[in-house]
Amino acid sequence: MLEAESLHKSYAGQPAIDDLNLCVGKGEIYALLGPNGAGKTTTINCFLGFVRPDKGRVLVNGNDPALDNRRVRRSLAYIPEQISLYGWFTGVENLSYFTELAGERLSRQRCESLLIESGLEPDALNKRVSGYSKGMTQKVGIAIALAKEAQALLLDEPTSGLDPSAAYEFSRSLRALRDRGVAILLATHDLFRAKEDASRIGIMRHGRLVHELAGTELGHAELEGFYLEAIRD
Amino acid sequence: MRRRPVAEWRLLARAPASRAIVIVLLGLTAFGAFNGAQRLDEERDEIQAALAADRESFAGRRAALVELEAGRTEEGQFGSPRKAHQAILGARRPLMPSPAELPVISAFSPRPTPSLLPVGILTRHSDQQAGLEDPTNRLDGPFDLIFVTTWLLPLFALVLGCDVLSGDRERGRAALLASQGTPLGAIVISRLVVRYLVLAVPTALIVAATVVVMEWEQMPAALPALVAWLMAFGLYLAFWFALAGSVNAVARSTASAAIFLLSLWVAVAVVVPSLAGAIVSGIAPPPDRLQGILAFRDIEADLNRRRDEVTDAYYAASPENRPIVQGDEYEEYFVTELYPRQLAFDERFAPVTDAMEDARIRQARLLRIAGLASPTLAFTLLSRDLAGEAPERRRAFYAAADEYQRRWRQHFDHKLASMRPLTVLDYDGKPEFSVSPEPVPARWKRTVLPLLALGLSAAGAVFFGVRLARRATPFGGPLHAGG
Repeated sequence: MLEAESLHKSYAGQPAIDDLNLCVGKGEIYALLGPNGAGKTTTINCFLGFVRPDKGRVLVNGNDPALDNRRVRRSLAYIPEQISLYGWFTGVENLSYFTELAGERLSRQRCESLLIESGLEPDALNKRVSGYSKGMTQKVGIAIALAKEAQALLLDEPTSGLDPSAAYEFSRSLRALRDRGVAILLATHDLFRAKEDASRIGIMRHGRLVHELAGTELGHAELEGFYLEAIRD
Repeated sequence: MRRRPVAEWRLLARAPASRAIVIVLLGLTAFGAFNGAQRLDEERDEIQAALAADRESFAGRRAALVELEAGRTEEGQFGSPRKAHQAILGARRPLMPSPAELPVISAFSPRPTPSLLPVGILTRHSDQQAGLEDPTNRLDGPFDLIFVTTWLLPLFALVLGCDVLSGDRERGRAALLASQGTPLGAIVISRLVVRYLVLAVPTALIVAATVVVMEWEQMPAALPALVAWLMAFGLYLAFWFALAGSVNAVARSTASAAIFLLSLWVAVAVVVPSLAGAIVSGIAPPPDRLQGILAFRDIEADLNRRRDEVTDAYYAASPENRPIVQGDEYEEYFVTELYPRQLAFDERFAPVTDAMEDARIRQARLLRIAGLASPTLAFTLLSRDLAGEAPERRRAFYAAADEYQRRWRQHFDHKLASMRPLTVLDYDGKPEFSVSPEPVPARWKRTVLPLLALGLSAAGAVFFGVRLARRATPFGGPLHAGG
């Protein structure tokens, strides 16, 4: 579903991604780990078509974002680290607005049911988003992905700043999406959640994928040790 | 695609700041319209009062003459309706220019073309309005619709348009927006179109309603002018929103976009018109009032010195006008001395005033060309022209006033100079003033250049803005204020 083939990207001569190959299948959660500047966000931006690779290519469901950006983006959903919505809109109105940008028009009832499905409390649906916590806005982000019926979901450090219970709830939503067959690529620093949720984990350093392992391969402590070893210069 | 403007409208309508901006602007526009309407109303009242006074004055004199001729009254020493030098010499008739198309959009006072010009046998309309020498000094003005739409509206447009994408970048929302599948350029354009309509439609409605209410009786002339003004207004506003779009395509924060757009406003609305004014004043200097005053004094002094010669020349040229009676000292002075001297003065001073009017027209023509460099200048000139403030209109009015004065003099000249008594027929046959509107091609020729300048500016800005917006990315470009 999500494929990167011999991907290269440099900024001012500094490689951000260096010969990256990865593949995320349907119904799979792939966690990208790595220190700041390892190339995780640039990889996600390549899939979104925000950044054009210098060499190699990315494919989303067989489509190259460099060639058919609009189709690729319609089949993707994206949740950034700091998801920011329109504060003077309610959760329902934000969902309606973003789905209209995706070419969908949802009824109010449909918006409400999607937000509840994403874990938002019913009494928060029609409150202004400016009063939402980060966890609540993340749930609106999940609802946007659900509404788009996205085949792939890209997340850039989605649990940073979330308290453990909110992170747990968020993981539950991700697993529900995975069970629906959505391919999920997750860039994160959260080793615990990566280990819990991901079927495969990739570790990046200096733009290269230095290790790839199955989520079940190691325990939490071993994963941490392995990660620290892998990113050491 | 078609639903996007509706979604953008909802987004804008729910933002409290946007609602406040629009409400404030509409309040200011309504206030500007009120000021213009009030000014015009006062002006029309003054005209009506002057016309009524003129009618009553002549009707009174004629009635007194009828009474005198019927022997029901006796002729007094002063104010006789039979003696032209008493009844006519000091009489001044109120002349009005042909109505301007959209006078209500301006509350400028005094009007560059006077709304009322008193003209009599002894008057010479010289430049009575100080401060009109240089039209480039008059680029701002009172709080009227021209001021609101030319200077304030662009600022409101920029405030409303400065964060259509830069604000999303600043709050980290641009990537989420772009990931939905609609290109950022399309989002920027639809947001700006919605904001454009939100400002343009109510403002245009207020202006159109004001014009319809105030110009109802001359709608055939006002309607084409209103359409032309609305077109110009639409282009002018499009220019500013297109600038906002261009800056949003690259700015990374609202602050950087706002600072850059404010700088553009200062450049386009203030600096370029001032520079253009300075250059135009250099190429075509404004009429020199001092020279006019000196010429006035020189001519007057010369004619005073040669008063007998002037009087003799007049009666030599018009022997039939020699007085048939010996007047008193007062009559002798006004009729046989002052009147011929005034005729000689007018003949010599007319080229001076004509040259001053020509200088104004030259300036106005050059300023219209300079409007190509600044849509603000072009829009101001076009608006002021439609409000009746073009020097060409003033000149045409003064020419008509001169022609009327010639006919007025011709009618009373013989009776006045020869001191023959006036009859009822003289009163009944007195010439009336009428001024024909400017020929349509000459009138609209003045509008074409500013309209073209606005069209070119708007088209260029929109073209450039759309190109930049299409390349917009969630990360923005080089305009980056802070971190």
